[in-house]
Amino acid sequence: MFTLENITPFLTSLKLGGITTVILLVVTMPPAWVLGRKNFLLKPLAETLLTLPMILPPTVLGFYIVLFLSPQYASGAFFQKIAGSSLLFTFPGLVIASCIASAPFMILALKDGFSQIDTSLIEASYTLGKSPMQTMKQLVMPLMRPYIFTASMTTFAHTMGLFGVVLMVGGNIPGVTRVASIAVYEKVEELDYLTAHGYSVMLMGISVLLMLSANIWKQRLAERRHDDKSIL
Amino acid sequence: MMIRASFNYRIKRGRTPFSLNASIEIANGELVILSGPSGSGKTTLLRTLAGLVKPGRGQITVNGATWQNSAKRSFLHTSRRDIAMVFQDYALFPDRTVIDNILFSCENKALGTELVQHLDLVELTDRFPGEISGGQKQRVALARALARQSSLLLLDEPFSSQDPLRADYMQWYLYRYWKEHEPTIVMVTHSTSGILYEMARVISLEEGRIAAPDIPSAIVPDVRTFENWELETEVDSDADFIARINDFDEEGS
Repeated sequence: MFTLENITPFLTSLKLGGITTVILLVVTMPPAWVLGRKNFLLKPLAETLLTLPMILPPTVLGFYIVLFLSPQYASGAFFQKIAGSSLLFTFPGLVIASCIASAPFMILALKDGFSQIDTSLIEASYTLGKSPMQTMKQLVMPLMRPYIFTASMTTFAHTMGLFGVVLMVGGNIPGVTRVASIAVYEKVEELDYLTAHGYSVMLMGISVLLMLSANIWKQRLAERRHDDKSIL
Repeated sequence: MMIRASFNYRIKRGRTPFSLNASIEIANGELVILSGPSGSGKTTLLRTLAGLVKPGRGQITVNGATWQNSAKRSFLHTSRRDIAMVFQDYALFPDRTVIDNILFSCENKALGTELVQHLDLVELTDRFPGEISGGQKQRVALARALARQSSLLLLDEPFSSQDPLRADYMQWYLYRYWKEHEPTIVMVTHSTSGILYEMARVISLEEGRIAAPDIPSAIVPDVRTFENWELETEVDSDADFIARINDFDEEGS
């Protein structure tokens, strides 16, 4: 039933989820810090724009990402110049699209974490001679661990389930851009329910496993700290 | 550490505007107590010296070096000021044990152990802040500040969560620390008794202004006064004092 060919979409999904999560973890950390800790005039607008991919219909988002990556426009031409060819219907193009589509999940979870850190803790670190960078490394990041873990799990699980955006930007090229969620759709169309079940169970299992481990980890940390001003 | 500070700080507390106008000079090794009713600006004054708030106008110089000059737009970040602070809400790091909090900015483990013993924290070293009482947290906060060995100690109500006997002991311990290391201490307290109060120059604040003329204290600690106080309280050592406090706690429970 499950040959290497059959399992390839699932592996492509795992690869896409992993790469997207790592990229977003690095890229969204600064904006999440700013949104979580600072107040500024355009904050509502910034929050709206950054979380827009979450509420837009996937086809609309997909359509604009296609335009964004299209060599007919400046952004697409720029990517083409760097990559040597158009990013549409390629795996790197898919990574860019899934980064845009999954960014709100990472940003919101990290922003929530940053906003939960008591300002007096950061101030205390400064008064103890730690610079802002040292404070970030020695105090903020350790406190952020549960949020980073949860944000990563949520982002990974969401990316694994992307469908509309992936289909529009990546197409459905076997071994390149065909991911598990599209493969499910394809197998249902082919009336191959058994294989569709196989993909679905694997996707569901991964999602349950990720969210369960995130929640167990959070609970263990909370128990260990018995923290009355819970940061979790 | 000679501190010259003169500044004006405005903020809105809810809908009420608040302004702090202060001009103070603090001599090297001096012990200063800021007193006054709640909301008079004591904590804001401490936070200004720490660099945690930026006054709109003013200047703070320490030993001739500028920590803040609004005219020149210069501001020395808190982390680069030779200070340590005890916060009213303790601000202990919740993911670190008591000993890790104390050693956060201090690599001298021997000093950490010494502070743990003096402040009766021996049995709490492996606990997290969420597992200890408010009074214990306050002692950890004081130990953490002292472990920094800075020239300027800023203490915001450092004894407020202690029972009277332990508060007396902590005053006594801090007095000894001051005498031995001679840091400059600026402390906010509502208490008007104890060895520190007797030795300090008291600056009264009222509605963001210095209300009472500040009278210079004996900058060099008066050993005679210290010894008299020690005799009156019949204390031989830290251990003796801690044992008495523990007896008192047990009797109470």
